[in-house]
Formats: sequence, structure tokens, C-alpha cells
Amino acid sequence: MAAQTEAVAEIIGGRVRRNILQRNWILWRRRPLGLLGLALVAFLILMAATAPLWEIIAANSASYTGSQPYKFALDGVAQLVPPSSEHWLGGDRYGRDLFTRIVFGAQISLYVGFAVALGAGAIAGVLGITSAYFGGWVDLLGQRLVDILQAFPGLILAMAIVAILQSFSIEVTIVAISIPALPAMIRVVRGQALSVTKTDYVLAGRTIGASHLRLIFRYIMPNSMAPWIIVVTGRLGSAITTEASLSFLGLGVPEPLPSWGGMLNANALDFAELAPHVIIFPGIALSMAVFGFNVFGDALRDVLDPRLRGR
Amino acid sequence: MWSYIIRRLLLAIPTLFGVTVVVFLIMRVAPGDVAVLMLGGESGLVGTPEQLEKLREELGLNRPLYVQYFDWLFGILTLDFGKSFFYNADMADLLARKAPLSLQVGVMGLIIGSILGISGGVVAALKQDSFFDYLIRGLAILGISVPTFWSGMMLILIFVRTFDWIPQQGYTPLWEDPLGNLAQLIWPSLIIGLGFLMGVPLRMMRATMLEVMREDYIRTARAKGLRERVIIVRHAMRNALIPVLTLIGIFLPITVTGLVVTEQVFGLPGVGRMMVDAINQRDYPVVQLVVTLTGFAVVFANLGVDLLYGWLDPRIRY
Repeated sequence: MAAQTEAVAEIIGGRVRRNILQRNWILWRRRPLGLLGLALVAFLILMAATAPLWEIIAANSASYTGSQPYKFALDGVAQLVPPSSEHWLGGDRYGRDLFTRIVFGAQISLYVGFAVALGAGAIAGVLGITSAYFGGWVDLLGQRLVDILQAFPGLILAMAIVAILQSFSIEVTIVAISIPALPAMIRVVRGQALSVTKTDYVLAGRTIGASHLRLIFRYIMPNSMAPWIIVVTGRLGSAITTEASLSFLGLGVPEPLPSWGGMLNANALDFAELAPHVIIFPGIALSMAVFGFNVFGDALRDVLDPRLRGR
Repeated sequence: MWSYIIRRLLLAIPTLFGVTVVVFLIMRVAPGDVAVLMLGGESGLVGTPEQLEKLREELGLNRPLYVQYFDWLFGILTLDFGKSFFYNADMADLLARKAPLSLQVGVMGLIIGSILGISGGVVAALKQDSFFDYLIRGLAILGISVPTFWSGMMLILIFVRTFDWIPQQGYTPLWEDPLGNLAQLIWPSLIIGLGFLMGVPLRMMRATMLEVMREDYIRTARAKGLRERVIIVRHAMRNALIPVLTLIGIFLPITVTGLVVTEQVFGLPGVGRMMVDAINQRDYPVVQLVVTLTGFAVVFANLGVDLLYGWLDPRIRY
């Protein structure tokens, strides 16, 4: 437990990978799938970070000279062309370079994924801990609201929020995905904080006259961190899927932004026979990203929560 | 038992009530009012003041908020859902037309997913750490990770390329042409079933099966000389299934989500498609109704799971 708390504390300190791997290397070594997930996530981050570089390289190989950013550049000749040395993954229906757009798609997916997981995670952390700490009618009312919000399937609630905001942007998409993500996260954090609040060391802290803030930040929060990290990591994959689903339905990240889900919108099927690459490649990128986050999240949960080990 | 059932039923009422309040509030916090949004919103096509006034009148938006709410709530309780603007039809009729398709695909997907998930989980547990175990578990994680709409598109893509088959638009009800109906709907059902609906119970079933197989009563059954098949089916699976059943509660939201995207991919005129169209057409009464009804459905599903659980495992009482 001590080593675990320490590892968690260091995760918060920001030196995630090295320390988890070092301290729990024995645990991680027995989870090849988790390591594969970690590798995929790392690859994805690298892809997003180097996207502008790839844009230049891809533009050069197609000897593109236009003034528009290459990821948006329309080229009538490249419409639906199959993969070639000029367009490595072919062209989309408007003749944009699919490779460049998929590489930039990683930025959107990661941005939405992390914004939802960390944003909703932070809000859920605050609400869950305060709700558990102060208890009483606030807690009771909050939990009823959580119950109610949990009754809506995430995608449906997100769609309703988009419908009512009636504007399409990455930020609206993030908000629409975050709100349905809250209840489950609040539940987990509150549950953990509730059991921590009842421990003897919190009582001891209270006895020596620690203030509410001190109790929350120095006693309860650090000890509620492990489940929080688990739910936040677990949310990454589903947030990316939901973003892709919304964009696929035309209710998420708008064109011409290169969202993987948007590239797959229903019209893409019209070109299935002519240009299958338009469907295949964005889907592979999307599935690999979600798969990576899912198996990494599973393994992280195993390592951080010994009770679930082997499940 | 009866007092448990009654208590559980009574507890569901405030939640159902809360669902209606939340939906109503969400639909009313719109920047501007619904009438403005419906007449074009940001696109600048906002109607004349007279048109706006007329629409507000029609929607009852110029009444106090609480009157609007109770009027709407009363409508839902009496199955009078109001009118859809885009479809220009009673929503009760619309639902009666669209719901059977979605229900059928959802139920078929659930059956496919549960059968594959439960049997896959049992096989993986019995052959723990073998090649089969890894293969089955890999398929489960893949099912959870690959977005439903993409697997649907890939299925269509393969069919188009190899058999020159295109998904049929529209739909024939089961009672009119059972074979034609099944031939069309089996594919979207399969796609839904092979995703979360297979993956989640599979992993759960494997885990509980592994636990149960180490129990003393399994050893006793073996010592009695029972055949392995009897031990697995009658002793192990029965006990391992109980926790898996609680998953039904999360199945419903997953199925609804799957339906929304799958209907879009396969061009099926179901409730999910109606919801997407309604959002694009700014047909807010439809959006409001669909969200409310899915919320209700989930509350009822959870209620059903609790009751079932209480019946299967008498130790559980709240």
C-alpha cells in the first residue's frame, strides 16, 4: 500500500511513465496487453505532436504548392484516389490528403479525450469529495441528481446538449461529452472519499484542529487519488468513441476539421465501392486509439487496485 | 420479498420524476428560446416577430414555466406526447411506427451478445491462459474498442465488394415478411451484439467463472464423481451468472447508443434515426420525448435488475 500511494503521489507529480514502470515493473511485465496499450498511447501522442511535420513531408511528396494548410487543401485530381506515393493513404472525397488528415485527427481525438477525462474528472473530484465530506442534505440531493443523470445513455444526453446549444465546435463537443461523464465519476470519488473520511487518521487530523480545507486537501484527497486516476484513465477511450460517434452523426466536430469520426460520416459509405480506403484508414486509427486507451486503462486499474487483479 | 418490491418501486418514482424535470430544464436553458432555434437560430433565418409569436403560441411557450412543465408531464402520463413539427404527425403514432424496428434490432443484438458473451466467458475461464483464452479475451476487448458504426461500415463494405450487396433502405415489419425482415435486420443486430454487448459480459463471466470454479462446492461436486458437464452447467455457471445479470442494467443504455449509430449506418428508419433527424431539423418536441423515454427505460431496466437480483440472491435486501 505504501509503495502504491507513493507511486500515485508521483503520478500526480507528473513523472508518470517512468515511475509506474519502475515501481510496478513486475506487475506491468505480466500485462503485455497493458504495455501494448501504453505503446499505442505513446505512439498516438507522438503522432499528434509531430502532425505539422508530417504535413510538410506529405505536402512535399505530393509537390503541393498552394497557400492553404495542406490538411484542408482541396485537389480535384486527388478525389478518392487510392493510396499512392503521392497520397500515402489516398485522397478523400474532396481530394484532401487522407494521411495528413488522419495524423491531425490524432490531435482532435487526444484533445477531446484528455479535456473530457481531466475536465470532468476535476469537477467530479471536487463534487464527489465535498459531497462525501460535508454529507447531510447536500450529499443526499447531489446523489439523487447523480442517479437521475445516470439514467440517460451518454450519447443520447450528449446529442440533446448539442441540439440545444445548436452550435458545432470542438468545445461544444467536449462540454456535451463531459456532462454525461460526470455521474459515474462522482460516484466513484464520493464512495472512496466517504470511506477515507471515516478513517482514524482523518479523525486524528480533526482532533488536532485541522481546518476543513486542510483535511480535504492533505488527508482525504491524496487517499482518494487511486480510484480517481482509474476512472479518469478509463474515461479516455469512451470519450474518444463518443466524440467519433457524435462527429459521425454530424453533431460533433464540424468539417473541415479532421475528426476521425467526421471522416467516417454516413455519406462515406456512398464511396465504399469506389474508394474503400476512405472508410478503412480513419476507422483503423480510431479503433487503435480506443483499443490502446482501453487496455492501458485496464492494466493501470489492475496495478493500482489489487482487489480487481485478474478480472 | 413483497415489501422489498414495493419499497424499490416507490424509490423509482422520484427518479422518474427527476428525469422529466432534468430533460425539461435542459430543453429550456437554450440560449434564446426554442421558437427562435426552431425558426433557424444562428443561421440568421429567424422569422418575423409574428411568426415567432405564432410558434410560441403553438408550443405553449408563452405560458409560465411550471404550467408548461405540468402540461407536458400530464401529456406523458396520458401517452399524449404532442406533435412533431418536422414529421407533422402525432408523436405517439410516430413512435408506434418507428419503435418496433429499434426494439427488434436491440433485442436481437442483446440475444446475440449475451449468448456469445456468456459462452465465450465460460470457455475462456475453463481454458484459462491457453491460446483460446487469449483469443477470446482479445476479441472481447476488440469488440469494446472498435466503434459500432465503423464495424457496421466495414461489414457493408465487405458485402458490397464481395457480393455486390447494398443494405436495403426502409424496412418491412416482421409480421409482413418474416424472412425478408430477418435477412435485413440480422446484420445490424450482429454488429450491435458483437460490440459491448458481447465484450462486457464475456469478461465478467470469465472472471466470476474463474472464481466459482475454485469454490469448495465445486470440489465437493467433483468428489461426488459428477460428470464435468453437470458440474460446469449446473453448479458453476448458475452461480457465476448472478453477477453477470446485473449487467443488464448497463446493457440498455449501451444498446440505445448502438442503435442510434447503427440505424444511421444501415439506413434503418428507427427511433435513433428519428432522433438524429429531429436534431438536424430542430424538432425539439421529438428530441425532448426521445431523451425522456430512454431515461425512463433505463430506470425501469435498473428496477428490473434489482428485483431480479433480489429474487436470485435472497441475501440481498436494501
